Amino acid sequence: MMHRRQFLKVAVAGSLLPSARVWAASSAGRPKFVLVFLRGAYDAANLLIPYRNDFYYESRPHIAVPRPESGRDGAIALDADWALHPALRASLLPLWQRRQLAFVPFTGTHDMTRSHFETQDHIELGQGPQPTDFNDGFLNRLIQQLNGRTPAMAFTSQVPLSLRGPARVPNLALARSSRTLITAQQRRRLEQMWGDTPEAHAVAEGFTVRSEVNHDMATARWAAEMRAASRGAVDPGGFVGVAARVGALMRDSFEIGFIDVGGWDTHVYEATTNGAQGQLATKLGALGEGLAALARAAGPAWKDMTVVVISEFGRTFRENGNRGTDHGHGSVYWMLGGSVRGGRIAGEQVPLSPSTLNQNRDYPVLSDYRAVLGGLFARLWNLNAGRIRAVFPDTQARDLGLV
Amino acid sequence: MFAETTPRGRHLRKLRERPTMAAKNTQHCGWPRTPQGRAGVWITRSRRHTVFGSHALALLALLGTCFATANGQNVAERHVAQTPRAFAATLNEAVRAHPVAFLDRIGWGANSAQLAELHRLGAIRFLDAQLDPRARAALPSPLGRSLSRLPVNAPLENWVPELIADERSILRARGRISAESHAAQAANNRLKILRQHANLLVRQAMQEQLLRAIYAQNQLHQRLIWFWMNHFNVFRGGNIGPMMGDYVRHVIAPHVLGHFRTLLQATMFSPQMLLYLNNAQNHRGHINENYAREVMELHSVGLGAHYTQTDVTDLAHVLTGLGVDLLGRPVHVRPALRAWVWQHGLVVFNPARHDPQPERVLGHTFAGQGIGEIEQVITVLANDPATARHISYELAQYFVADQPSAALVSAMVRTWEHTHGNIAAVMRTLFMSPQFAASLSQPQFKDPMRYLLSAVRASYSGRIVTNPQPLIGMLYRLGEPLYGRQTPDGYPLAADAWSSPGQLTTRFAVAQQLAAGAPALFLRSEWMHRVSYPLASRAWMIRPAQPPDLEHSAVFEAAEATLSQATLSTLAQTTDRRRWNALWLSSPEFMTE
Repeated sequence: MMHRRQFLKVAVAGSLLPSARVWAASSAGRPKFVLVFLRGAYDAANLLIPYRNDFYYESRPHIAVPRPESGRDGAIALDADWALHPALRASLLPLWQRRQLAFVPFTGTHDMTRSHFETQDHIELGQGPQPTDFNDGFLNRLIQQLNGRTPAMAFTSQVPLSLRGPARVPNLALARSSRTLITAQQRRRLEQMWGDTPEAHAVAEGFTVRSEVNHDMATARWAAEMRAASRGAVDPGGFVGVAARVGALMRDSFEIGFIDVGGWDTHVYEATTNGAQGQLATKLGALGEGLAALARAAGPAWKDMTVVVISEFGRTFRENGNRGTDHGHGSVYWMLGGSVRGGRIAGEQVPLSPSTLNQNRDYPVLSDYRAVLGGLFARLWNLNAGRIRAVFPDTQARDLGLV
Repeated sequence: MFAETTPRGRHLRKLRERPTMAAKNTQHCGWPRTPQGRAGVWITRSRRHTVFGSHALALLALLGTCFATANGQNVAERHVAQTPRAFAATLNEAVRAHPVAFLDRIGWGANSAQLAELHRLGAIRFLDAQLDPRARAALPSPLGRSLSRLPVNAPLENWVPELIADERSILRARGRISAESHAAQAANNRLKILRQHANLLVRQAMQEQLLRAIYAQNQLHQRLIWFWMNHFNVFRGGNIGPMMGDYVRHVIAPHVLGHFRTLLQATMFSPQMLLYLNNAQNHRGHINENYAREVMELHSVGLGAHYTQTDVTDLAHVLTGLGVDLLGRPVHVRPALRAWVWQHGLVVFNPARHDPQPERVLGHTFAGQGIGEIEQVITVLANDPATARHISYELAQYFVADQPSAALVSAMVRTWEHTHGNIAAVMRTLFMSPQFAASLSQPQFKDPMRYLLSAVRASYSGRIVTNPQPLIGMLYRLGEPLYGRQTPDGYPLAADAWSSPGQLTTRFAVAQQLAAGAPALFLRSEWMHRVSYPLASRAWMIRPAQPPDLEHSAVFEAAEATLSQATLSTLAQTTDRRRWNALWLSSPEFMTE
């Protein structure tokens, strides 16, 4: 008769008691880190454009972003080799000019399946080519190396793989949260009913997070801030609105945060008249506005913040038959924040030609993402090589001096 | 669309699957035949396909490696005679102890009528009825009549070309005039009306699917519709949205208990899939390999099977020319190619867009056959042993356990092989397995769709939901909206994707709404007054919110014996019907099946 209950009990052993507050209060001056995962493999070659390279223009007759001298649609030259997509002119170019934005091209994993799903999993687990534990993400291991009490939050409707593991991390999808009132009495009864189950902590944390976020949001007057941060009316469920609230919550309560943004799998009509127009341009524009809103909402905390934007892989260097691109390999990672030493393109690079492309098809991976992030974490939290290897096993951190 | 959270559990399980798959099955063999011999259909089929002529040898082949060690034909036959009764007894016993878990597993959740039917028929005959591909939905008659009249159920070619032509002509006209002009305003208004109509069609499809899931009697059929739609996921974006009703009713539903090859073919020849994964744009000289990759990785052989980037690219070449014409126009090609044109509804095979060069996919060569190549490649994909294993694993995961045993999967694979992918036969093997019987006391955490529908079925089966729209909103808040998964992998199937803190808090809020009577569910539906809808008659009109009496419901009484002390003592703390209902629908036992 009690089979179900016994089954539910199995996983409880060893976990911690739920604390009254899910996270310790975030103290000023400590590093803050936000990971933004672009799911679907965004077309990195049209974000950071190799504008001096004729092979780029030959490979993308319909979807290349025009050269910098081409007026409004022209790419924005950042240095002698690379230019920025013009959709980011208003939102992120100012950060580049303040040296708070850097890019790391030719980054990614050595996974060659070109499967979105497998590669995203590999990246989030961060255990190397053969993951062995599927409940053990790299951000969770990072929290454990930071004494396990670093306040972290997934701003997503599920806890992503990268944050799963022994350190308990709550989640809340800001765009979808409701305000249905559950009374204190009903809450107590629910916690009692779930008390013996493996989900007991999740139940308690869910209530605590919901009420504390509501409280933080009320005191932060996020609606007013968001309007200011996004310079006008925004859809609170859209990315710009969510990103502004993430900025405010990171400022007040959290040190590690996670957001994801979907819809980057541009096999068809990535661009219309040229790479400066169309689907990808619109998405990059909204992403840029969201990141700028996050930066503004973070206010004084921005100086301690590092936001890293990643994706599972890049796309084919040549356009396909439908003004789109297919699955590729190496990507371009973004680093922005008040503590970033930006205004530069970091990491190993190679001139692009048919012979330097991976399989004559897509960007090679010259910087393993685990080495890059390991180097960043080492600097942010002053972690030694042993601790970095606990986050990314068998990885030699590469210090690119990004912060 | 932004900030789409993507729980990744499903693919992890695929990674996990590899080592266990290699494990040799030595425990038992799933034998899907019932004591009543209802499995006759597929036995006949296997016999027809088997290379052995005689009855006994056919059976032996059918049993596969399971009896490889058995001492000849007599032993095998004796085993056949004994096994079904033994399995039936095991299943009957498990179902007697866990009737609610059983009904939650084979359909969208127990209700009182089904509990009575299960009691009357017994588990085996109940299963036989559910596994019958011809089992009827048998909806309450006013509901069934209304649904069949919904505009969304008309054949696509009758209304899609008009809708698309209207939209394009408005857009063209608007492009020629100044944006500020009066005419531009009028064009925008017409466009708005058109898009509202398209959105109404999407909602009709969702509402119909939910109403069928709640009230149809062929519950396994309804569950499998969701499973296969998720397996062959398409997203509602763009022009696909209004065609979702067709995808459910005409592409997926007719084949959910049929042969896998037929189902794979139906999806490959559907405008929804061809648009969603861009094969509509894949043609000679303009290769788009999106669909070619996903059909192997997700729909058939599965990731980790023996294919390479070259197979993907070559398959994309084979699939060139298979596309969609939303305007349904006749295809014009030069006379030499006319015989190769194929057109059905909005789906077109245009030989002028097809690459006739020979291609090699998974070791098979395809050349010069036009659409015949595509049919051959479907057979190759459907018959690949990796496909049998991949799909059996997913079914076992959805219906039995997050990590199904290798023995169960192997038994299903054997049935798959002997029946050439007959889904009903594979499902029978699953349900008659000792692993399934044992799993009834080892609950699975429900995903949002299972959770929500089981709560509605337990609470409102005796009363017709006239406005399912709030349920659509609840599924969105719970992170599993219908037709809302953007990526082709479908929603994750395992529990760990759905038990996070944010998820549980939202479930408690949903439970509270349903527990209080959810008056919005009984309002007039938005389309009831647009179409002739008998339910809009006074008998079904708005009633005050009346919380259902779940404490004295047949479902609670049948589940009570399996509740924990913590749940029982918490429930005993309140006599207020709304609070009691909310607690039961929020209990750990209700969130698992």
